[in-house]
Order: sequence, then structure tokens, then C-alpha cells
Amino acid sequence: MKSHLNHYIVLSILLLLITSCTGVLDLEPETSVSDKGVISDKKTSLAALYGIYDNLQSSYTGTLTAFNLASDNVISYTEPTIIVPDRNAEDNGGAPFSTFYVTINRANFIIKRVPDVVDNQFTDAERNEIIGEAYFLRALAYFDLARFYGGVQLVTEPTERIDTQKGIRRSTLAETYAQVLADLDKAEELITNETDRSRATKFAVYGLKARLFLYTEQWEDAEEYASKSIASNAFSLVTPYSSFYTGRLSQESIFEVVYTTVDASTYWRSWLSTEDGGNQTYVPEASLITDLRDPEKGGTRKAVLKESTAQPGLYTVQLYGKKDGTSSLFVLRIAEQYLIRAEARAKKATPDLEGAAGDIRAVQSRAEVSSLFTATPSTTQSDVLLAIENERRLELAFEGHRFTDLVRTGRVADVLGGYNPLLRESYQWVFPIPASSVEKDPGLEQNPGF
Amino acid sequence: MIKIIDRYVDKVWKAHAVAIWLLIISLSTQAQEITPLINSTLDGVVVDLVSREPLSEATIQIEGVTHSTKTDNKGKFQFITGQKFPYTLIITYIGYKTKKVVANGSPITIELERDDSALDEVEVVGYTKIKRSSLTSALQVVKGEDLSQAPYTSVIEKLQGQVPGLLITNDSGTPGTSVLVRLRGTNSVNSGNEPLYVVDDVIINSDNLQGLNLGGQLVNPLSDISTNDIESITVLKDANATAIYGSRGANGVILIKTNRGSHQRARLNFGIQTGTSHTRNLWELVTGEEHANIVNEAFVNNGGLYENRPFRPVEEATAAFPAWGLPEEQQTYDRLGAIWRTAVLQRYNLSVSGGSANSNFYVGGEYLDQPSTVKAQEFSRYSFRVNLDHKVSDRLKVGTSNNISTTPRKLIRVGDGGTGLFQAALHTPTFLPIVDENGQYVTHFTFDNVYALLENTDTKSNSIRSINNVYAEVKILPSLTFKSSWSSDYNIYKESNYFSTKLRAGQPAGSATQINTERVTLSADQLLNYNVSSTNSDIAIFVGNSYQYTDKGGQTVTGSQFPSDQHRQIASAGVRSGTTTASSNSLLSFFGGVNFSYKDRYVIDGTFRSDGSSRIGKDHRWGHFPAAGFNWRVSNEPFFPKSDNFNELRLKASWGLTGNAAVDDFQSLGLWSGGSNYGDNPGIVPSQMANADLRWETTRQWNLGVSGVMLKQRLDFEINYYDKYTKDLLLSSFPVQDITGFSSITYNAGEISNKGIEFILNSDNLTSKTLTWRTTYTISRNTNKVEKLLQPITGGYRQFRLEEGHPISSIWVHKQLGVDPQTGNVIYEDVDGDGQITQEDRQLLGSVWPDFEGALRNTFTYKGFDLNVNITYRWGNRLYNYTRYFLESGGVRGTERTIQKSQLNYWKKPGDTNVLPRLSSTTNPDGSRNYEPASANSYSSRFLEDASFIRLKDITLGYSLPSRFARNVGFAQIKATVTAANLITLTKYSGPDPEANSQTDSNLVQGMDFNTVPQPISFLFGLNVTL
Repeated sequence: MKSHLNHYIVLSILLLLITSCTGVLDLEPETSVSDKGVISDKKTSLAALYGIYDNLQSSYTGTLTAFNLASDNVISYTEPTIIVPDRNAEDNGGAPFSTFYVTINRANFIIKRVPDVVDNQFTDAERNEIIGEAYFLRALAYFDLARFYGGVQLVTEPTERIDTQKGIRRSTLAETYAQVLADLDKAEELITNETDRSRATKFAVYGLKARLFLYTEQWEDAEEYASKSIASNAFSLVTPYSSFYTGRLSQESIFEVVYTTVDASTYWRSWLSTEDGGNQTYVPEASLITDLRDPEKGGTRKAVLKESTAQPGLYTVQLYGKKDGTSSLFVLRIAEQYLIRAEARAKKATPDLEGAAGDIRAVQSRAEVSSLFTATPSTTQSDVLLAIENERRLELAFEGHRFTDLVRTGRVADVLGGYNPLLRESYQWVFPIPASSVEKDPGLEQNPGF
Repeated sequence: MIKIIDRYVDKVWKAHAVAIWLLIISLSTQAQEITPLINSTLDGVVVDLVSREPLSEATIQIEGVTHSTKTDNKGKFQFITGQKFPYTLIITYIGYKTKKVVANGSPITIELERDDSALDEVEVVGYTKIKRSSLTSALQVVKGEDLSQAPYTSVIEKLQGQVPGLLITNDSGTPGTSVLVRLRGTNSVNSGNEPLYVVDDVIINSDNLQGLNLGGQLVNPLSDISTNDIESITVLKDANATAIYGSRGANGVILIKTNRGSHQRARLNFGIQTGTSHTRNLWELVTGEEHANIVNEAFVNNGGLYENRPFRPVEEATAAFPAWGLPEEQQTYDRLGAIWRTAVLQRYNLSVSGGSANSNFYVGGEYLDQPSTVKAQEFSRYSFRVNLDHKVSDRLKVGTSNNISTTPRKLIRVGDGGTGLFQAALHTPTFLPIVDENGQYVTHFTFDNVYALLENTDTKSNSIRSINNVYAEVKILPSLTFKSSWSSDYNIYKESNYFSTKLRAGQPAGSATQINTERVTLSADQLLNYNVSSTNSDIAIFVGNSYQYTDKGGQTVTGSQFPSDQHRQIASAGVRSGTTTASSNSLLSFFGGVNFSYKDRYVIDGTFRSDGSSRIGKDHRWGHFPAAGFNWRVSNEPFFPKSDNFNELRLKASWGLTGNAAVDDFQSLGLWSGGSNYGDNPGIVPSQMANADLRWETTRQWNLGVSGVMLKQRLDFEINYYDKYTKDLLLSSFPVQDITGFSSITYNAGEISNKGIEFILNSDNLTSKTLTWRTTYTISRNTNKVEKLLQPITGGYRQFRLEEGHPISSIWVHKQLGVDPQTGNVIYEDVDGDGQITQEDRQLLGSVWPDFEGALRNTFTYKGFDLNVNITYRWGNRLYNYTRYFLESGGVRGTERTIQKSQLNYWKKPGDTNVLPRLSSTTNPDGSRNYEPASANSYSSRFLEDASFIRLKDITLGYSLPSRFARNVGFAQIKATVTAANLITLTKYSGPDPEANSQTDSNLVQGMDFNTVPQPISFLFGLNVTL
């Protein structure tokens, strides 16, 4: 036996040397799957759609924060002297950028691949619903990109290789809005969902279109699309005011980004006071507090504020205040549609100031404001517009509208310039693109002035 | 069945036998033996002169003839020869002086003397053993007994300063946390920059399994291995030495050899070490009143109204502008003092080693308990080792090495992050009370109360590690051996934390995380070694193969909404969720090498290795790594003058390629992952962009070396110059355009060079019988440069940058020229001259890498006493003092953060010079800002500091009881030691420790000091007895 030992050894060496390398180096990942064929049936198509909503949870949080801080509604607790900050290229006010393209890329995958999925359990309506919602979410991403930065790079193909998106340059603001409209048209055509407010519904498409038309100043269209939700009995201005955020998916809501206890948000920490376990990172600005607490202006909307017991005079915002992390983010709700219609009616070719005043009153009445806005024969268009501006500030105080409302109405220099003279300079009316993003993309031009 | 295999083996054997025999015969220079005429029979034994241990494998040759033999494992040999007595024997044995003996009759005992010139010591280089004098490569050996006695938990820290070219930085003073290790500079931007660690032939994992975020603090996986069992450490530096490790060797290789016992009677060794550590030289903070005045001034300078200033009578408070009381009403509270303690260390180790003629063994155990000087952090280790070797027969040797350890830790978040200890203890303003009038702890801003944190932190980890190896070595022919080695490195890392409702992270009802990560690496190595010698030349050839497979997986479970703080297990949580990870990689390698030496003057060697890695893209999977070296022992040339002043001179040169694939698994594939859920519906998302073109990162390295021995062997030195160039730089997070929807990709994106010179000098200044004095001096310099990079990459909080033409981890800031004496505004260099200070004006102004560094070590012995003094130094290294960036923020952070005393020296009136800027954070006319509020990212060079230092690393005084006294009480040896570590540090750096490094998880960011725990000063007593 011993004499064979050598033979075994030499054999084992030879075998090891000969051992083919096939197999042992071809490992497959276990927690991920390959890009090819990942969207293969109804179930995976739907999962890919939820993947977009998942990103919306973080991107919309970032959007709200940056827009809120940019205006005179919300300030950073630690910098009480800075009511309205100016921005430079290195400090872009924390505005999100890349995350919008994460949404867009995920939507592009669905738009490109779901039409080709072969699955006989997959009805056309279900397929269209998924594709339609992807269009809606892409529209929302481009719309908010435009609000932050003006015209941006338009990407409509999924990124399948590193060079897929090479050489794309920024488009104009008009082209960007045109892309939003085109996507919304597609969504309107494809979406049939009218009930699940945690996802894009037909009414969400109408609502976002109405908002877009405000920005593109297509007043008749804005009025028409805002009226669609207002006319539907699926929606109402709920009372009390606070019930739309203390509850969930209420009649007020057209589209809200939801969380659950397992899929929880930590946004409440940024808003609640330290005595409530939060960080009170963002606090309301003094004049807003005054107006919200004024029965003639704020009415029951003062419920959104809570005064600290340990630190009297400190007010914190309760809109996102569920400590189990289930507070929704309100993307579209019916009150905004009333105010959109009011503005459209006041601005359209033949202004309807009476109708506009009626819409303002609808919002005010729900908030039990003691002095309601009425249009008398002496009321001018600018009176109505100012009333709308103030009403929007109070009604939608922490939902990220104020800054771009002032920009689109041309009031930003007058209103915010008083707090920070740099805001009188028009280059400050858009955000600088984050320096790190410009750095890695030769096609991405920084906004002028930054 | 066995018969069939036998027959098959026979066939295969016969088929290959001819070829193998031809190969062996053609290489063999050994003459065939002819049955000689017998004239004498000589029996003998060869022993060590001092220990009387028999020496096996010694070569005995009769002078003038070719006849030679070797001793067996009992040191015995027999000559049956045609020669008649007397004749001269030449006995050679590696590590001993060659001896000539005249044999007058049988039997004979031959004593060999150790050769302490160390030139003939055998070094293990990769897969072969080579005499030091024949080395073509740059390497260095450190013996176990020369390791520092300072209380470091890992072997690597104990090497600091001992090996020129090996840069070792303690990231923090917390025991058992990460160490920055770079051999001959930084080749790569990946995490794969650590040298390869090989413990007793097992390639061990040195990347850590930590999953919890501790603010940049990482645990050190090398702390799993006891520092007591170490026999020696070999550091392989150049490519010729490391190329045989192929893809694993690019960053150098550190071979750790543990004790294995020897052929002698069993020895029992018991050691105990105990001592204390404390911290000094901490931050100096302002008083409450000083804080108030600074903040008030900044408030007004920033455009705030005086009547709204933060520190004014409490009754003037309004909704928008709270009032904190007048400055002179402010108290001063100390929090920083609350977190420190004098930590008491204990270490006990017990080992038994020994052996017989055929076996040797080492059994050791250690218990170490080493609390940090920061309360709430503790490190302990229980470690066990069993090493065995056994000669089954003259031809077969088997053995095993086993290390099992468990290292429980208590941890707390330091460094970065709102809920960290330093935020609570250092960053909370001093004017704020710690408890309120009801005795309740007060929290402030986003920080926890320091006492609440110390009392309620419950973060633990435990690393359970088993490193095992078995091998068999067969001597197929006298000159042909085969070694088969099988290893595993198994590691479980368990972590858990519970944040109680008294902590911010525990809001509203407690929060807990538990992570278990498991990793196993299995490897098999087969090696065939062929050695043949003749009078003039030696040839060693080896071929082998290696296969390695690593599987890593883990589970994370989190819970919140606990019924009370008494219920801390996630099982009790109201809301529970979990996730899992899984990953694997494999590496298959084939390698071979030749070493040829001629006349003890010339050595040429070459190796070649091919590696296939599962991590690399399919089309580029195999990497090929050749290396070659040359050594010329000039002093053995006939023309070299024989002189006592110049005993030895050697020149060497080497060249080689090494690879690196230390990226995460599966980086070349385009992937989608799940877990991106919405409203509890499962979501899938594209998670990784494909890069089929992913290829090996390759480093080419030249090494030129000179070494010599001088002055009657009292002085020896070695100088090495190296030049490394890394191509296809692997960037694991190479940024891609945002419009792709991905943030980064693993990409081969650049080239990096490292050039340097290393020098070591050993000098025996005094060598009398009673008094000796030995000095070791090292100095090394490395220049690192990014030669090519597709685009600059910023890291950290955008104050670190990777850019062509600069070293890696360079600090990217505005160069502050001073403060305008008229306005008090900061003056930055306007690089582009456009009159505006923008990002374009930032410059790369230094890095953590020193211009040169080294150590000075002096060892004195006098009778039973020995004294070791180690000094390390570093020059030209920079740190970004990010702690000071926060604490010297000019009051513009208001009541949010504390202020450092040095802030008091700010611009107050026109004409002030040598001051910090005027207190404001508004934009100056040129676009600059004097101080930064929390939201801005623009950095001044005034926080970039020179962190050069000279440090008295440790002093150890030892006393060994004279052996006759020791024997009287029944011991072979008794030794007591006293050690002082980190006694003195000379530095201009303003932070507590110039060795700080707080963002330890990214190579883009090295050299940031943010809330780093400084290295403590320690005093230790040790006692070691041997039975």
C-alpha cells in the first residue's frame, strides 16, 4: 500500500492541475437577480412599479424639505436669523437632483419593458394601469425638477449600459414642461384606477395637469382640470382641517405617499419638538405662526401648530407628526385644486373674480376662518390674486408650494427680497444644480450665476 | 473498487512517470551511487552547541569527496565509506555556522554553533524557504519577542515603526478598533488596500463584518488573534515576494507565524499583565458667559436685531426668538469630563509547548480584558491555540494549526452622528444645564444627554472566530516534497443594540437592532517543491495550485415599539422587521517558480501565477502575474576585499506584477434587488448597472536594494528603492452621471503611482558580556500620486478629493491667506482671479500621508535587566481638524454647538491681526464666508493642520531573575516588566492626538479628525514565569 502513496499524491496533483476552471468561478448572486428578464410577468411588473413609489417616499421628502426651507414659511431652528437663505453652487439648499432620475430610470424600465411582457394572466387594463402610473410618476419627477432647476436633461430610455445616457444636454423649461404634459397625456389615457389614493389615479393625473397649467399659464385648461376633481363626489374638503393628516387616505386626498409601521418614515423627527422626541430641525417662521393662529386668517388650521411646554414660544408642525412613522406626504389634495381653480378663474382671458372668490371661500369655510373673502364690485384682479397667495400660504403651508408660487407669480423679489436682498436677483429663483452632479456629467450645465 | 482505482493510478502513473523522471533526472546533479569499498563506519550525532538539541537535516560531507549524508530526526547519521580514519567532515546546517571536524573514530558528537549574523536564517517567502543571504526580495522579519509591550489588541499595531515602508496609524484610542495600514503607499481607492494577512499558511480575512453604524468607528478583525502566540512576523514588500500571492499580494503580505514548540522537554509559560490607561490633553471649551457673548455678537453681525439677540433677559422671549438670559447669568457645565475613566487592563496567558523527536506541539490560551478610557466601551478576548506537528515517518509529516477566539465588545457611537457620545459630551454647549430643576436629564438640540447616554447605551458585539489548518507534507523523493494544505477561516459577528426611551434614538418607545453576520472562507493549497544542490549551485522549483471560496451572509432584525425598557429583546417589540444578505466569491489559482543560486554569489528567481476570480467580468476573468528577482552577493566575489570593516555586501533587484480584485462580489453584473417596498407591497428596483468590462487592477513594481554588514558584524543596514505603478484602478464607487438613475459603478478608472525609499539600520553599540546596547533606526518615504483619473471625485463632506496629479485622499479647501485687518473678513486665495471666491478657487493642500516616517528603537541589557525605548516619528502628514471646524465656528451655530477656547481670539476691531475672522456667516462681498453655518459646505485651510509628531511610543524595563534563583524556586525563568506607553508626544497639531482618523470606511477620506478618541497613556506591569 505504501508504495502506492506516491502514485496517489502525483495523481492528486495532476488532477488538481488539470481541474477545469469551469463552474467554480461562475457564481450567481443570491440577493439580487440579473437585469435580463427581471420584469417577466404581471407580478414582477407590479413589483417594479412599487419600486418607483418606494423612491418617491424619499425623493418627495427631500423635495418638501428643500422647497419649504427656501420660502418664508419654514426656517431651520438652529439658524433663526436666516428666514430665507440664498444658495451657492456648493450649497444648493439641499435640493434633490439625482433621486429624480432614479424615479425616471425606474419608470423608463417599465415603460419600455412592460408592454412586451408575455403573461396570459396579465389583462390589458392591468398592464395599462402599470404603464400609466409609471408615466405619471415620471411626469411628477420632471415637473419637480423643472420647479427646482428650470429645463433639465430629458431621459426617456432605461439605463441598460454605462453609455446609454451619454451626451444628453439640458433642454429648455418649455421642453421640460412639454415632456411633463406628454407623460400626463399618456397617463390620462392609460390609468383607470379611481380609488387607491396611495397610488396615481385618474384624478391624480387631472390634479397634476391642473397644477402644470398654472405654471404654464394655460388658465382655461387649469380651470377645466381642477374642476374634474372638485366635481367628483370622491373628494371633499374634510372637517376638521386636521383630519386629513391625523387620518389617512381621507376624502381630502387625491394622491398621498403612504408609509406603514414596517415601512416607516423618520420625517416626524425633523418636525416634532425635542420634548416630543423629535429634533425640531424645521420650525415655522414667526409671521406664519401669527397668521395661522389668527382666527381671521388661520382658523382651525392653527391645529397644525403645537406650542412647546418646556420652551414657551416655540411652535412645531404636526402635519408629519405620527411618531410611528406612518404620516403620509400629501402630493395632491382637493383644497389645492380649489385654489388652482380660483387662480385660473382670476387670470383667464375673461376673469371670473366672483367664481375665484367662491373657491377661496370654500377653502376658508372649511378652516372656519372668521372673516371670509368676498368679491365686491370694487375688488380688483390683484386683490383676488393676493388673497389666493395668502390663502395658499396658510392652507398649503408645509407642502412645498410657497417658494415656486412666488416665483411663478413674479412676486418673489417683493416678498422674499425683504428677508434676503440676494433673492431680488433672478438667478436665485432657481436652485443651483448640486456641484457634485455637475462635476460628474459634462453634459450638465450649471444654472447661470452659480 | 480499490483495485480499479489502483489499476487506474498505475496507468496514470506509468503514463506520466517517464516524463516526471526525465524532468527530475535532468535537473538532478546528484551522482548515482556506486557500491563503495567499505573501509570505515562512522556513527555520529549533530547537536546544538547551547541547547544540546539534536539537529535533523544537517548535511555532513567528507572533505574532498562527493559523498554526503544528512542527519535523521534524532540528529543521527551514519557513514559507511571507503575512506579511512582520519578524515575531515564538513557539516552545514541552515542557521548555523559551517563547521569542519576531523573524524578519528566512531562514534562522534558534533556541536554546531548558531550563526547570529542572521544572514543564514531561513525566511519563508511565499511558497518557498530561502536563506536570507539569497533573498532577491525586500522583506523584513520581526520576532515575537521584539513586538511592543504597549497594550495593543492586534499584532499589526505592535509593529508600528518597526518595518520601514509599513505605515500604521491607530484610527482611534479605543481598544480593538480599526488601524490604517499601508505598505509602500496606497495603490487603490477601494477598501482593498490592506496587506494580505497569512497566519500559519491560512490567508485570513481582514475586512470587518460590522453592520452597525458607530459614527465611523470600525472594529479591527485582526484583534481576534492573540498577540501572545506570535513567534515571528514577516513583511513581504516587493512584487517579487508577493507576486506568488497573485491577486492578493498587491498591497504587500504579512506572514504571521505562531509558536509551534520544539523538540525539547515541555515548557509551561504563564504571563500576567495588568495596568491602567488614561487620557489627557483634551479639548478646552469656553465658559457659559463666553459662549453667550460670542453668539450675541455673531447674531448681530449676521443681521439679527440687537433686541432679538439670543442671550437677553428671559422675559423678553418671543415666539420667533427665544431668550436664554443675559451672558453674565450663564453657568458653565462640564460634560466632557464625564465620559473618561482610568481603565484597568488585565491579561493572562498560559501556554505549554514542547515535543519529542517526532512531534512538537504548542497549546496556549489567553484572556484579555481591556476597557477603553471612554466609559461604555470595552474590549475583551478569550483565545485558544493548538498547534501540532508530527512526523509519521521519514517521508510523511502532518500538522495542524488552530485558533479559536471570542471577542466580546461593548461599544458606543463616537465620531460622526447626532446620537453619538461626543455630540453629547463635547458638542453640547457648556452653558446648558445637564439636569433640570426636577433632577431630570436635559437633552438639547439633536444630542442626547451625556449621562443618559452613558447609563443607557446598550450596544454589544461579539466576534467568534475559528482559524484552522491541516497539512500533510510528503517527501516523494529526497529532493521532491509535496505539501497539501487545507484551511478554513470561520467568523461569526454578532451585534445588537437597544436604544431605551431615555435616548433620542429610542423614541418613541424603544428601538433595537440585531445583526448576525457569518463568513466562511475555505481554501485548499497543493504544492510540489523540488530542491537540488551541487557544490556550486542550488535549484528550487515549485508548482502548485490554490482554490479559495468565501461565503458571507447575514440577518438583520429590527424592532421598535417596545412595551417598556425592561423588554429589550426584539421578540418583545411591537413592530418587527428583518432583512438578509448573502454573497460569495471564489478564486482559483495556478502558480510556479524557480530559484537558482550559483556559488553563493548569484541568485535568480522567477515566479508566475494565474488567478481566476468570480468577481471579475467574464471576459477578463483570468489575471497573470509574473515576477523575477536577482541577488548578487558582492562580498563573496574573489575581488571583494576581505575586511572586518565590511563583512557583507549584497545588491538585489526585482520586478513583478500583482493584482487586486478586492471589490464587492458580483460587481460586473447588471442587477435588480427586492426590498424596495411601498405600503407593504414588495418592490423591485434596478440596483446595479452592468460593467462587463470590469477587469483586474494591476500593479507593476520595481525594487532595487543594497544591504550590508559592517564593522565586525556590528552594523547592518538595508536600503530599498521601489517604484510602483497601478493600472486599471478599481473604483468601487466610481460616480456616474445622475441621469443614469445610478449613483456609482465599480469601474477601472485610473492609474496611481507610489515611489519610495526605505532604510533600516541595526547597530550593536555595546556588546560586552554584561552590558549590551543595540539601536535600530528606520526611515522611509513614499510619494503617492494619482497619475490618471477619468474625473475628480470628492468624498467625505466634500473636503476630500481624488484628482489627477495629487496624492490620494488629498484635502480640498480654500487657502486662507489671512484675515483682513480692516474688515475682519477672511481672505482666501482667489486662484482664478475673477474677484469672486467660488468652488473654482479650492485647492488640494495636503494629505494624511507623511513626507517621511520611521522609528528609533534602543535596547539595553545589563545583567538581568533589559530596557527597550521605542520612539516613532512622522513628518509632513496633515489632518483636517473637523472637530475644530465645528468648535471654532464663530458663534454662528448659536446655541446648538459648543465653542472651543481658541475661538476667543477673533477679530474685534480694525487693526486686529493674527486673529480668527469677524464673527459672521453672511456672504462677504467677494463671495466668501468667515464661518459656516451648518448647511453650507465650504472649507478653509485654517482647519488643515500639520500633524507631524515624534512620539515616545513605549518604554519597557524588564528584569529576569538570575536562573539559579529561579531554579531554586522551581522555575526555569522569571521575568518582570514595567511598560509605559504613549508617555510623550511632540506635535504642533491642536487636537488631542495627531494619529486620528475618524472616517475609516472610505479611502477617499483618510485623515479626518472628527471626535476621535485619543490614544491613552498606559502604565503596565507584567510578570512572566516559565516552568
